Amino acid sequence: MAVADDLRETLRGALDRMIPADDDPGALDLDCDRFVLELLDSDAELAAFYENGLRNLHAEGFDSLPPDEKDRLLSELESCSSRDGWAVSPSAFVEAMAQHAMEGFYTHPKGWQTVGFEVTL
Amino acid sequence: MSHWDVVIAGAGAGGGVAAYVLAAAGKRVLLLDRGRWLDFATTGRDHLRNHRLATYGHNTGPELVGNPRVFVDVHGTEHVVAPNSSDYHHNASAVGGGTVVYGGQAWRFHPLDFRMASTYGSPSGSSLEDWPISYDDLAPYYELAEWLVGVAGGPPSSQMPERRGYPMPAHVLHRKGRALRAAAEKMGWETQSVPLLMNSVPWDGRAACSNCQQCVGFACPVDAKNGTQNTAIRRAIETGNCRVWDQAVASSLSFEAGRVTGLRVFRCGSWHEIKADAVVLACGAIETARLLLHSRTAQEPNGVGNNSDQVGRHLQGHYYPNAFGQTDEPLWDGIGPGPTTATLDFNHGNDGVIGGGLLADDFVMLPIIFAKWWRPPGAPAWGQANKDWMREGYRRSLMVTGPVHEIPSPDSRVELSSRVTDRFGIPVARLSGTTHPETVRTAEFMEARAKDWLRAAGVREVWSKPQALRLSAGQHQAGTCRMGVDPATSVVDPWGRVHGHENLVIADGSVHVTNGGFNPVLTIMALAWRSAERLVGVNVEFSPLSD
Ligand SMILES: Cc1cc2nc3c(=O)[nH]c(=O)nc-3n(C[C@H](O)[C@H](O)[C@H](O)COP(=O)(O)OP(=O)(O)OC[C@H]3O[C@@H](n4cnc5c(N)ncnc54)[C@H](O)[C@@H]3O)c2cc1C
Ligand code: SF4
Repeated sequence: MAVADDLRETLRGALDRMIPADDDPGALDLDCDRFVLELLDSDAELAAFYENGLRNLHAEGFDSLPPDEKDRLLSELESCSSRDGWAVSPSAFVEAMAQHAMEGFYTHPKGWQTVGFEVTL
Repeated sequence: MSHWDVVIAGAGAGGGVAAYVLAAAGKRVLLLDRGRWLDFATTGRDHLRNHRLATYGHNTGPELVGNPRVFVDVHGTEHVVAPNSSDYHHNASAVGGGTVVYGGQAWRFHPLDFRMASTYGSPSGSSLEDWPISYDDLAPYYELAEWLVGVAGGPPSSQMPERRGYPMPAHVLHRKGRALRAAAEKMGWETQSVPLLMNSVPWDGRAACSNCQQCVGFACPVDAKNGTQNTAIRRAIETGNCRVWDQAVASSLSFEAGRVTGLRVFRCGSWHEIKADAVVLACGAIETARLLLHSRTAQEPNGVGNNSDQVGRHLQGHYYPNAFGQTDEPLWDGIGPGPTTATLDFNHGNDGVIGGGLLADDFVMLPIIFAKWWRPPGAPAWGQANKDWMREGYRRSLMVTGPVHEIPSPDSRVELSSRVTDRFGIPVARLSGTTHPETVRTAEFMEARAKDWLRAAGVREVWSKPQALRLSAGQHQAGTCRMGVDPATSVVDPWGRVHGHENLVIADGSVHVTNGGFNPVLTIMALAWRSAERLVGVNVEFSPLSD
């Protein structure tokens, strides 16, 4: 397992804020959590990076925050290149999650539909 | 068979065309490539593993493991890089090379592109030089390549010489193209359609393009994209004179008494000595230079063709200035492949800069590329606002881009790594240096013109990726075995023969003296034809009607 069980919820919660569901699906609806877990399975360095980022996010009480508070915390982290207790750069961590969420979401045919990328062949 | 008339290493754009010309002239040809025969079924449509976006891999060769290169960054730090890294400066490995997955823009260079130094002077520190041949020397071969491989397009801009029409009419004009044409007209700019090596109508026994949305970087689902693998190489095989070996890696040249006698090749688990009267190298500008540097004799201890320390230098490609923005109304109609409309008004004659380049619209953009590359500065990177931007923006986005004629530097180069080897233990290519700073100035000039074009098309907020000094080689890599009459400053003669080796010809982008203000593939094909013809000493004509 690339991510410890107790951090799965943190990962899901963070990805949900990267691409929230509205009238269109969000990151979790299109299995972006599975996409990230598969990435981490094939990349030990990335897995360790995530492990540290998620562990710290969890420690900051992320899981139990309401959505707008989650966003506020993520924005704050996005602007910090280092932070007490964090071995990885919080901004790099948020940036990586944003990239990976988009990679899972906008390569999915249902993600294409949200922007109007219509495929004819 | 153990002895061939000609063995060709590299079955890409140049190697494929050379194989056709030599086989049609009656020569028994062995064409080999380290890549495999690939098609749509074997390459697929993974938006994160292709030759447009290779985040986690790509859809051709070589394998990500066992084929590293060394890249030296602008601070002088060495990095060992895998084939899907942009610092690897990869094209594509397959039978057909880059042409299996390319965008197929089929440009001729401008007559002045062959005369850059005498037109502009050569800035200090650069290796800007004239070609030893002119546009007129190459024009008949451009036409042959256009008909052999198959171009669709319309009449040329008045900036270019007259030429015969193409075998096929231009592709469908989409809404973005129409908007850009109207905008150009407002500014008094001339436009022309973008010539494409793709069937706009059924041609050569294959289907017409279905105007799909996933073209560049991928193989074609209906085989309407014309690469060398389904045109030149197919026809070479049909002559009965050409054998193709895929998954065959050439490591070095063989010699007897200083004369080239063949190639050392790894295939099916073992090494083979391939004997041939003549050898053609067409492994692309990086690997051809590497193979020469790795082939050493008593007479040429630093690599074949390298007694003047020219092999591997002048590595160049293209800067791609661009402008991006959003129109008020969506112009997206999803009609691929995408490039429809170009202006050649800024290839030359620009005040205060050297050369210039073409500008055109681009391929239909994959959503993930839009997400990764085109977020405007300051726009949110995630969350509801990012999602809204994606939804709002994707179908209203408009982009103009194009290759700039590079001002090369001799210090931008391919060498052999002294510490990293490939899976066979052969030293890998080490890439270092940057283009000449004048290239950046020209790119900035072109970026400003791209912005003008978008503003005229009604885009209110226009942005670009800033230009910075770097190594540009990449998919348009060229220049590492430049052509010239003087062995002190060049590697091959005006017929692609390595100086001092009448039976060793280079037939890929390596021989370009400069790389034009245009995508290079048609020039590579035309030169390969011309050099192959010279090697056999007979003219090879081509007309699809004579089939
Ligand atoms: C996605 C993409 C889009 C592009 N779009 C365009 C476009 O629109 N217009 C344009 O003009 N150009 C385009 N290009 C660039 C174009 O494909 C290249 O300029 C062209 O293919 C280069 O031709 P070449 O003969 O020099 O080498 P290649 O076509 O790269 O062929 C070299 C071949 O040599 C083989 N090889 C290398 N080393 C060895 C070895 N040691 N032994 C055996 N075989 C070896 C490789 O596997 C490869 O198949 C594009 C390229 C890509 C990847
Ligand atoms: S746009 Fe046309 S040529 Fe390109 S891949 Fe699609 S069908 Fe093939």
